[in-house]
Amino acid sequence: MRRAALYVLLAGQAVVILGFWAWNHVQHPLGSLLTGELAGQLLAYGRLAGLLAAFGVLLQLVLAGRIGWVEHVFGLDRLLRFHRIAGFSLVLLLIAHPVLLAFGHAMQADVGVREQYIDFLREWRGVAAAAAGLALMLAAVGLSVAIVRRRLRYEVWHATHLTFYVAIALAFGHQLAVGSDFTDNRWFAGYWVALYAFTFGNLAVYRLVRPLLLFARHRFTVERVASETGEATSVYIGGRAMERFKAEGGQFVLVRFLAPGFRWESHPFSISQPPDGVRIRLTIRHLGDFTRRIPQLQPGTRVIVDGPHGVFTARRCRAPKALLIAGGIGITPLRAMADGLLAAGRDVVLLYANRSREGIVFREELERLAAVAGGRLRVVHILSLDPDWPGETGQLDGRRIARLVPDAAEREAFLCGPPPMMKALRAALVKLGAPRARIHYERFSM
Amino acid sequence: MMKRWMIGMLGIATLLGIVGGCGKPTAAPGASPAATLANLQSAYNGESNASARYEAFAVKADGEGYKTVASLFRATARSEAIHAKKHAAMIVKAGAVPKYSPEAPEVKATKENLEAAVKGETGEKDSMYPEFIKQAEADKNGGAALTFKGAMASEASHAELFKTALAGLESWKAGDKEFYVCLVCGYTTMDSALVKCPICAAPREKFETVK
Repeated sequence: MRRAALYVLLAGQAVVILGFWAWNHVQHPLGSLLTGELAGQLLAYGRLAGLLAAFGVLLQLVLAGRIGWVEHVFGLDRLLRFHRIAGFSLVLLLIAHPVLLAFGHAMQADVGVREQYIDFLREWRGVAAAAAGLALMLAAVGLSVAIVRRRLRYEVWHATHLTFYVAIALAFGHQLAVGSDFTDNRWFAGYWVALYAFTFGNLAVYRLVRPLLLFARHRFTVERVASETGEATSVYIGGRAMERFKAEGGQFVLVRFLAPGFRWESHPFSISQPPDGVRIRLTIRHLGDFTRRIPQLQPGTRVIVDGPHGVFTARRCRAPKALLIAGGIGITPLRAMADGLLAAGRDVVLLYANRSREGIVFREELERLAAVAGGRLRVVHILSLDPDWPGETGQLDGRRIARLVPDAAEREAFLCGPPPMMKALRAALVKLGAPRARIHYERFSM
Repeated sequence: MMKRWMIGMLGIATLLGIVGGCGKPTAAPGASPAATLANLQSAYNGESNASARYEAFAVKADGEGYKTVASLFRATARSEAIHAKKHAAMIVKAGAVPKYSPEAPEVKATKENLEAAVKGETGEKDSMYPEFIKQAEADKNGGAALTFKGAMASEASHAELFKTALAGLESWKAGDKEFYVCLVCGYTTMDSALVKCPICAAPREKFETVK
């Protein structure tokens, strides 16, 4: 229902924008530009490309902005996936806008396209800044192309992505100063400003005000840093009035540790133990420069916590039985979720894939949990590069799932791990007869 | 999710295609490229003579003390010269040479000059240019149709300004008003707050101030 309402809200904006645009161009003093001479059509569709590109950029901010009322409906990982696809598609509109307008105005003024474009930059208010904004946007999108992105440190990539805000600011001026849709129609200009205010208002609330209010209320502090394995560390975060900090197993938070070497970066981590009214636990694998420094964190360090985020929780489990499949550090949300599922009376099987026994996080903790669960939790470790392991060895695949969990298709499945593994196992579960709607997964990368 | 996005984009593309395609000019029975060329020559000659005539009217208005009316005539003369230049460019594109037959302007008293100007501009916008546009569209000559449409819209602005001057002629002596002429299409206005040309969307910087 809420999802449908959001789709209606989104479609409503598209209708308003298309409506204003069509009205402006049909009512033109030269007659309808939509059906007139080529120059007029180039101008009309060039402006439409600009309007849709700007709207798309705002939508991108909403998708990636961790805005509560959107994120709680779709889940941040799905929103970010759409954000990535939409980002690449937006490039076409962003480029089409100046190109079509340069051709249209050049034809109208009977000058060359290059001359017209230079005229835009020199004479049209705000257009030179907008062109710089466009270059920044294209550079940021270019750096997000997988092959380039893989070569960049997360921090570097994130910093370049933040230049989008600068680019948006640079591009905004020319929209109202020389955008014919707005200079000719005060109502449209008012709506446009409101659209920007709404988007940035939401961003300010959810990315700035809310985390600061949470910090003011709870005064989050690192209580303890504990090594889980050689490759993973748990950070226990406590604070004031922690009984009022509500989160569910499977959700994640973005944390910014206020300590030298940490304070300029905010990173998402799954809650590996739900809040118990006193503290939460995050378990972090040492994968990058930032996470490798986590063991150096000192108790007493203040933490800004943004969250909880995510809809990958036990609430999604409608079946009486659940199948949890974890790969590596993907265990963290599932470990926390297991508590919720067991508390709700579900029968749980956890298939936990690792390379070797040294990589198993929460091994003893899971054994203890299984021991007190009265047979409702079965944990199976599958190790791919540990031939001496007395249990399951090799890859986790469909055949192994069918053998280990014969009733897999009847279970609500929750997957978290490396994307290729999740993709393969989702397909395997479908092949085993599991309905797609009962397969839930969380992608980790942001 | 990706599928929905792609379907959405295809939908928009289809919509644009339909909107863009439905009004394309179709072959008209009266198609005659030579007729449009003749119309361009006629319009070029008419605009060139109008420009010269308004310059002469401006001198007369100045002489009679109607400084603001003189400014208006100078502005419209500038505008008509822009139209003439645009028509000439179309004639050259069609492979012909623009032909100008200068006519000696019939200069009377400023009030009568204004009345003649209203009549001339109204005739162009209501009769001459609509016919020319129709023919250019029948000939699928988008460039000519566009230059005729631009001139027609501009003539409407001239007619309104001349009517305003006539209505308050005695207050148009001080020479305290400025006129702004779009150098791209010739649109003429007294609106100093104008941000963009309502005809061709050229920015304020593309307007020439005439006093």
